[in-house]
Amino acid sequence: MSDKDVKEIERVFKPKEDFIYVLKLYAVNYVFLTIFLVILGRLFYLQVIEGHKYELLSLNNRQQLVQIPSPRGRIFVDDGKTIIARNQKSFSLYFDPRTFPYQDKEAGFRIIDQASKQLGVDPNEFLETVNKRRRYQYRTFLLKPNVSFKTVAYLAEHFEEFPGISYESTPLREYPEGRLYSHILGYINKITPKQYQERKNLGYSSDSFLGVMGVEGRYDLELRGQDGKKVKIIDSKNRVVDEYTLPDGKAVPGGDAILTIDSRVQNILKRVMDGYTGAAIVSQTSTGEILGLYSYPNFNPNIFINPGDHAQEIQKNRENSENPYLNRTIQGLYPPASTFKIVMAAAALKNGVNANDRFQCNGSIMVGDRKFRGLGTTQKVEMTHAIAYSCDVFFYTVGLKIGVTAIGSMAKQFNLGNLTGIDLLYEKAGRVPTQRWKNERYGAFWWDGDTANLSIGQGYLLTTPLQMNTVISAIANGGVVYRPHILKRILAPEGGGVLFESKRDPIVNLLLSNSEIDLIRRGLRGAATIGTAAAASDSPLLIRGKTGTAQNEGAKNHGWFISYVPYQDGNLAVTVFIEHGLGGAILAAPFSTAIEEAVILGRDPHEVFIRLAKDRKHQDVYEDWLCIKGYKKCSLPKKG
Amino acid sequence: MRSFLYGVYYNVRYLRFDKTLLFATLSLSFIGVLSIYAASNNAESEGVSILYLKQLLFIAIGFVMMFVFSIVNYRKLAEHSKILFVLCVVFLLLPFAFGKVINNAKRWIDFGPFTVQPSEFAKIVLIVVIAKYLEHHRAKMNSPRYIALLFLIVAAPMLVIMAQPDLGTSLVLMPILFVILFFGGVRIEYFFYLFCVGVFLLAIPFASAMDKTQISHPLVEFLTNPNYVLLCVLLALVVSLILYFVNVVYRSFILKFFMFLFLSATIGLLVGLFVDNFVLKDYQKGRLLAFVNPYFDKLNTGYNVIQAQIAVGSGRLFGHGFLKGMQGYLGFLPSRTTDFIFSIISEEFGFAGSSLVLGLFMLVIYRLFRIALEVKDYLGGLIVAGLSMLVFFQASINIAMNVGLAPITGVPLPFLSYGGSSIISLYIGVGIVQNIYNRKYINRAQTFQVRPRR
Repeated sequence: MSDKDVKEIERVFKPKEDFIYVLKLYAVNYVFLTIFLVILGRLFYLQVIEGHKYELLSLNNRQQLVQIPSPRGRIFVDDGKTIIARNQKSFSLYFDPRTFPYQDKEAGFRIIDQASKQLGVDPNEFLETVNKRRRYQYRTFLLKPNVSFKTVAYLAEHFEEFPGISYESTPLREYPEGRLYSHILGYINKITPKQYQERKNLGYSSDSFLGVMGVEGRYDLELRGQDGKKVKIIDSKNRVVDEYTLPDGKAVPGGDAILTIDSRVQNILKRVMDGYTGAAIVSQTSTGEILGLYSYPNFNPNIFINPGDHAQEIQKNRENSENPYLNRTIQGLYPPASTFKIVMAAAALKNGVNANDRFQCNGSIMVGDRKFRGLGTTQKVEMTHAIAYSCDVFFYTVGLKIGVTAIGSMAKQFNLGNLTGIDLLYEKAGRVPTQRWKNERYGAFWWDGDTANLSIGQGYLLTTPLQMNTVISAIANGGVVYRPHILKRILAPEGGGVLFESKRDPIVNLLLSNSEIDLIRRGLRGAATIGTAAAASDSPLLIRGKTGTAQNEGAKNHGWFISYVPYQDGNLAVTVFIEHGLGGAILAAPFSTAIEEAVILGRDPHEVFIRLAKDRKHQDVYEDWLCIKGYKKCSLPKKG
Repeated sequence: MRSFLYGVYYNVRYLRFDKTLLFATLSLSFIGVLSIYAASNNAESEGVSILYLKQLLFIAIGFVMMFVFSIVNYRKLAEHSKILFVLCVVFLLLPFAFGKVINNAKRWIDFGPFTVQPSEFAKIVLIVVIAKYLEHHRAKMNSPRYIALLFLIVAAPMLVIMAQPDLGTSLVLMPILFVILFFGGVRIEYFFYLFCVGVFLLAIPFASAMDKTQISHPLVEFLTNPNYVLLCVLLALVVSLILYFVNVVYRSFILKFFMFLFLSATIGLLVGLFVDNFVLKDYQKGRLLAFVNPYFDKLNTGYNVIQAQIAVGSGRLFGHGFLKGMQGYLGFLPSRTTDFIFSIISEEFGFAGSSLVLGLFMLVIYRLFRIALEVKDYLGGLIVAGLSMLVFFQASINIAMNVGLAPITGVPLPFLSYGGSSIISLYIGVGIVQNIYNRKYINRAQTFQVRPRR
């Protein structure tokens, strides 16, 4: 051993004898121990005391609650085969507030900017969603429905550039027939916050779609089914690692609706009516089933599925003075004019006027100091003639004789001034004026001139085409007012049987005797053969109808023709109303005849017009029709 | 040569290991391997990466190194401390010349499949160097000259490490230096002043972090206004000068105490102001901010803090089970194999697992404490103290940042975090400790069995 080693041994240090050293060692190690114990305490606090909270946070980290929109029930026409509203596979973009960089404004705006450029998301809408959703967490919100596959592919490829945006496969509503059924079907739209507040308890979510008009609106609850819920497990880069449906989260599809609408009838209505602002209804008189219901102009309901992409068209429609969104069959309010004489006749017969009583048909009548004029033959006529020739003076006289109360009560019995109760939304009730109503509304007394006006369906009286359709139906079926309906039945999804079936629903029995009904019917037949609606006289069909020409101050008159015709075991009621359609006899009656011949005889509607165009009277009007429909070369600008 | 071989034989012949320390460190390492396996099991990657196998290799190398260093006489090693120091600084400078740049930092020397992080080894070398220096100048250690020299010695590698930049590692050097100084006999009151300097120094960056998170407090407002702080510094300096002159006339312990107190405030605030404005980078300030309030910017600076806490907390009592930790699997947890490995353990094994790891660290520290009580020379005591501070400080800082008790610094968890340099250097340290432990038997053997030959 070297000297060094010896020195080393000499330097032997006995720590236990060095009190200060030992003290320091203990001190330092107690400090170490204390700090370790503090950390242990913290671990105990985090993991044992607060563990539950952090477990939830961890769940929230990775779980994303996603609504699975239920496939909405399909809608069929009466054959149960032709689909007029269905669902397509589509993708929707969703917003996930948790992964959106709320803290970093710049990054947030960059994402919004990129999303509007690459994904076609409306930046304003996106910003609104971002701001609105800040306080909600851990679930996704619909950002944009119906995006193209290309967009989704782009998003999937550049997922990391779009924190806060995800996509889902969702069923998309589609109306294959476009504008043909627009007012029957209505459309669906994303629920507004207000609508959502009202419907929260009915299973709607803030991303639900809501039927707005028509059958979609009226039977929304039956059609919508029940949304499902899905949990997605996502990783830190926002990629979906796993997903599963919650036990009670399966989406229940909605029921399929079968309508009473006959697609053939509806197509005929479109053929005839397109280009002429107005409404046409074809219905079964003995049940109230609507076979066709058409209002022109109309709109393509598909534009509302993704309103962002069709904003221009929606706006254009909105600005259109003809208002395509107005369903004229149930929302258009017009004076029924001479078609009201049917009601008048019934009222007269019920109020002491005999069938044989004759009154002046033509000329004029003094009511107070005003002269009420009318057209027609010179003689005094019976009621049948008066209906056939639409004698104004006859009905003035009768009206003044029975009084406004009697007229009003009969009108009410025909369900005028009330909703018909058709299963479409936003129907209008119209108005049957009374003395009291005038007093309250205008502060003026009812005078005989008002009664005279009312007697020929003018003045304050307002009805919808559908209401007049129920009037003619009631005459056809022997005096019963049925509630018109458009839905036949709703079938439960996947062959689950019938959920709901519409029944024949009589509202009022007018208690008209056979002779009274016969009298009116004879009058109506007269009108269609020798009377005002002579256009129908060439038809081989047994048409009974009444024209109406609603005077329109400062504009062209509106034309009405309400009629019915035997078909199969029952009768078809056909109502045609044309805004600014001159006289009822000129356009509405031929239209109606064309519809009836097309429906019953299978003729092409234009045959009627060709026949009429040979006539010298109003030749140009029928040539116009042929021209608009493209049956004839013409110099006129094409409408519609 | 003959004597060298004899020495080797001698050492191996009488080799004794502290088996408890060995057990504790190896247990920690294998828990680390398991956690690295779990951490690299990720939804993102297909299959588990080979990281855990590499770590096993590092442990094996470390184990061999431990064996080697438990044989090499630490006294002999310490005698070469000057050469070691120079080598250490050169080694630290190497990454600047041909280093591998990861995250804008030049901390690693590239050796193909492996990279070496010199700063990890530098810690061990510096412990030996400082201990040797203190032992050598033991009697003079209260003279400011020697303390200043020591500070200079430490400052050189520290500045190099800071420049890499690796603030975390350079900060680890400070407590190591202090604890060795503490055992080296430097007067206790100096540590108090040092502590004061530290408090004043930290006050300003913390205050500015609080200010950014919109915490308003008069003190925060005061400290974030440089004019007020400079005024305060000036005032403290004047007061301490006055106290100094008064002290010249009326010598009093209390006057001297307050003089130093004000002086440390002056230094602390000045350095703090400097650090806050010129040294700390934005990301470092962000970490302070995230520590003060992680939810202030929860998707950026606060993200790591929050996710780590969620991972730890969601483990609850017994954890989700091995490989079932979702925070790790789904990638919410950052730096899963290194800085936040503790969170992986906590999530998968719960409080049971995390307290086991903490317990094993306590066991390591306890064994080091026992060994320090049994050392046969002063140098051994200082080295063990330095190493136990190294293990303790890294472990506590790392775990504390995992549970939100400390701001995030890139300090790895000893024995567990993935990283060859860290593992190997730590096992070298354990080897040195085993060697020190061993010495006590050898000395006994020398005393009782071997007669010196001439």
